[in-house]
Amino acid sequence: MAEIQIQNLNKSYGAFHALKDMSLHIADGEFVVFVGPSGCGKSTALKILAGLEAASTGRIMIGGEDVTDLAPGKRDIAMVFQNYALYPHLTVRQNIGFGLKMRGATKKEIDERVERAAQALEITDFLERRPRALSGGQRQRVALGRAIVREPRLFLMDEPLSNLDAALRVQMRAEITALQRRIGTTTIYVTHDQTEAMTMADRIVIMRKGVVQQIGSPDELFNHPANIFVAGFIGSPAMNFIRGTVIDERGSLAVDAGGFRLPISVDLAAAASAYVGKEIICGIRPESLELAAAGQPALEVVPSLIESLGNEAYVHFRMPGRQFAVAVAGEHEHEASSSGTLIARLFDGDRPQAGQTVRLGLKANSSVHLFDPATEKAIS
Amino acid sequence: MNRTLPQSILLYTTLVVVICILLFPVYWMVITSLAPSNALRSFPPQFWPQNPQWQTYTNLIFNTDMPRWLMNSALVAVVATGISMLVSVLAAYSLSRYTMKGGEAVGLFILMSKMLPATMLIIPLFGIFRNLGLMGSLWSLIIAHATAIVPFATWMLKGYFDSIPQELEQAAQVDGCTPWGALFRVILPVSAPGLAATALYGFVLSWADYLYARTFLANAAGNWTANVGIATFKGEYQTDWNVIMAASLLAALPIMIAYLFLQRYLVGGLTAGAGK
Amino acid sequence: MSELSQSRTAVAAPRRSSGLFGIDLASPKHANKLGYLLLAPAALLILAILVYPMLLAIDISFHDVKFATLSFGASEYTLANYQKLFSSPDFWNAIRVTGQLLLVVTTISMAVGMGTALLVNQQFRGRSFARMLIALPWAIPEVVAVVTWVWILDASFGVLNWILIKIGLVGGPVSWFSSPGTAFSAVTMVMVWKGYPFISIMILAGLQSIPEEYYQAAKVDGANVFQRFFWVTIPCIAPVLGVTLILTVLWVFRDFSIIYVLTGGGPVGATETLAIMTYEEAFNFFRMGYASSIGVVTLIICAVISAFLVKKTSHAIY
Repeated sequence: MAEIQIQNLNKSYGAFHALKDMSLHIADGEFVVFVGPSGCGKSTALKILAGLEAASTGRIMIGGEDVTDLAPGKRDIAMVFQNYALYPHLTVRQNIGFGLKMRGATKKEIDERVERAAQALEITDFLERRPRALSGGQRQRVALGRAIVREPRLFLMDEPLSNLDAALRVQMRAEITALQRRIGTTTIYVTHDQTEAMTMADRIVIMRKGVVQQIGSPDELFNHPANIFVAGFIGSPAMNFIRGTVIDERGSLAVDAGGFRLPISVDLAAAASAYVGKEIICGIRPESLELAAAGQPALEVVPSLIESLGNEAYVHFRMPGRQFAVAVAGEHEHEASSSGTLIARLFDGDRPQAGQTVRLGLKANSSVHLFDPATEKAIS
Repeated sequence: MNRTLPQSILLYTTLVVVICILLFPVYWMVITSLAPSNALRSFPPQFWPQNPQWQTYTNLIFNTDMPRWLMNSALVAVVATGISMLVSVLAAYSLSRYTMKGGEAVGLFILMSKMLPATMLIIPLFGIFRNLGLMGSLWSLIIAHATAIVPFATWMLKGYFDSIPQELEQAAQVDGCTPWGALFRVILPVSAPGLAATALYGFVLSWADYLYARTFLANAAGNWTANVGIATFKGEYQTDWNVIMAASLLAALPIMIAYLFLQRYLVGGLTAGAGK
Repeated sequence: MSELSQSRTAVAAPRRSSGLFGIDLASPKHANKLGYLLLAPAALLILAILVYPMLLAIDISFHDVKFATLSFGASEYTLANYQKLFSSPDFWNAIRVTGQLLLVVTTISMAVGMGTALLVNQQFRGRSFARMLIALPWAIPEVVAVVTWVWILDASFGVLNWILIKIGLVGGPVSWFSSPGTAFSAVTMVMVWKGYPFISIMILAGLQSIPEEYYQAAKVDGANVFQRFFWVTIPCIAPVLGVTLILTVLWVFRDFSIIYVLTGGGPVGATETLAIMTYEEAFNFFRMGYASSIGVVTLIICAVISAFLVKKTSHAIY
């Protein structure tokens, strides 16, 4: 167990800058998630932390010790891989005990520790099997066992759940979190799935194109995204972005988005005053929209699609010329532009019909996020 | 598969006829080897031996140089394959896992070397071996065979290593292995079938050689390999086809057995490096 | 789980060994050095037994040497070997023979290979056994195959003559190795027999990699068995066919053992390919320089043909 210092870490492959000046301090026992679309540098950062790749520049300290040039095996860390990387020629017992054996532990000690780890993960029954005779979930547990048995200073997990089916993923997500809380080992977890990041992390490091976008707790990232990328990446369905103009209505600021008037909250007013008469990007979470009551300011839209999930419904609609497409969510940046529609997430209540005009209004007390169209940074 | 009865009959008939035609030489080799000498000059030929002459084989084994030649073939094949595997395993692993300046060039040259005509390569090798005093020695053959086995084994093994996820040795390294240890404790055990197939294939390549053996060993009859021996039998025992066929069968047997094991891996070996 | 953490100090950290020359090759910084180190033995070996001899052969081809010399530029450089080569009718004969053999052997063995592969690609009981049998000639060493065929083709007591006479194709026994035409046929027969199994194995692997859904989709679209063959099978195995073709061509081009043991290039040069000519010049007449020049020309032709085929076949895929 140890605190981790990442200082100005850079990695270039030729002209390609995979990781730009990453700095981060991780407290002892913290569960930190690196999240972002593929190619954002999260896996590169993890590999450098593990010692599997060399940093171009920068320094890594584990527990106060500079490990930047240390071999992976000497860093006292453990890693769980996306494809588990279990040794196919060894039994589960040998797989879990391999690291201890390499470190010269006695046979008795290895047996005891493997036994304990196996019990903790409920895989005692498969100890004599080979990995190929195990199911995906069981392999996942063996991979975890191999990590915890050595009681390293740091766990590194590289998308460990992405090869599992959806139901198992939710279950293992909870188990890994519980396990980490119990043994208290500092953990860095890499994923492209924002749900995993939100549910598991103490702190999230959200990255894009090799650059750290924001570091903060899940709530911080959700409520105060630093820029359009973070706002669009965190939360599902993704935040809607609409172009509007800031107007000054006798002292109180608002955004005019083609006749749809969105009030600007008091705490943003000071910052937003610089944008009066200028274009701005508004971010509205789908769940901030509701069916507008008569007389309330509303946006009249014709839904292109209504998806009902039983207790809620997603209303897809378009605002031609007003939409601001940000391609963010999902593993691949390009595949995520969500066909350019905006979404309102309606709970219980009425179900509008596709093709009928629907009046959408902003829920009371819900916040509208404001972003500068040029820098894409949050205005606050 | 739903096939009607006539279709099934047609399929099986075709199969049997085709296999009979294609494998007739093998059948004929076996039958001739068991036939008595006088039956060889009978017209029509005997398609089934009335009384198989097993002593042809015992004669061959106890009264000719054939066992010695077989041993030489085996010795050369084992040593040439062993040495080649040693360097090829390391090179293939390096080409599969590391991106190095010049690494690609080496890989490409190895691939291109398969295009070198052996009849051309043998000329400078002849001169080199003569100068080194290796002419007539089995070492000349071992080195010559390595020129063919190393390029092929390197590419075949690279293919196997490429199919093993890199995370495996990364995990081993995190677990405390050196890269060297990861190769020997994890990658090599995991690729054991591939190693065996490659080695067996190298053995086959060496065993089948005639060009180098007849050139370098021409004046050292004691060091002849089975193939050289058989080609000479053809001249010497003009009409004793039963002896020649028996010797041929003995020389083919190790490769046929290897073939049974190799079948699954054959495509990988045949195309080693030929893809991309 | 809490008891797990009590024993954590019990396992020693791995040795801080410093590897070769004080460089820890396990460190991420030095990973590539290990790559070079692993490649070095093979690179050196190849340098010694392939690159050096190859350069030597090219060098020899520019000298008038009777016996292989080991020093570069031992005597004056000369183009005499190449001049002699290109004005020699033997050389052009060898080119013609090699070309003919290439055409005939490649065509027939591709056809036999394709046919047998399609046959054993059917589903039937004992299929894997049939597959093993159909490619068995691959496992017969060339010399052994040749010797067996010499016996089958024997003029007086050969079984093939008996069969041909029996079914009335020929009037009397054929003396296969004494006339140019029949000798060429004999070489073709043996080469096809040794060559088709490889093609069959390759095509079969290609056929097996075609997803069954393609055929189902084609059936749904109403394609008959021939349409399915030409519009699904052939395009799908085109890359495999390309690689197979190249490797077969290279084999026919350079093979030595079959022709040498079967006919020795005769009669009257009817089966003398470039490979045979190279060998004969070098080791029968000991004209090493001249032989090397034939080898160099062979190498160049091989390179050109494969480059051409690679271009053609990689084109066919798209």
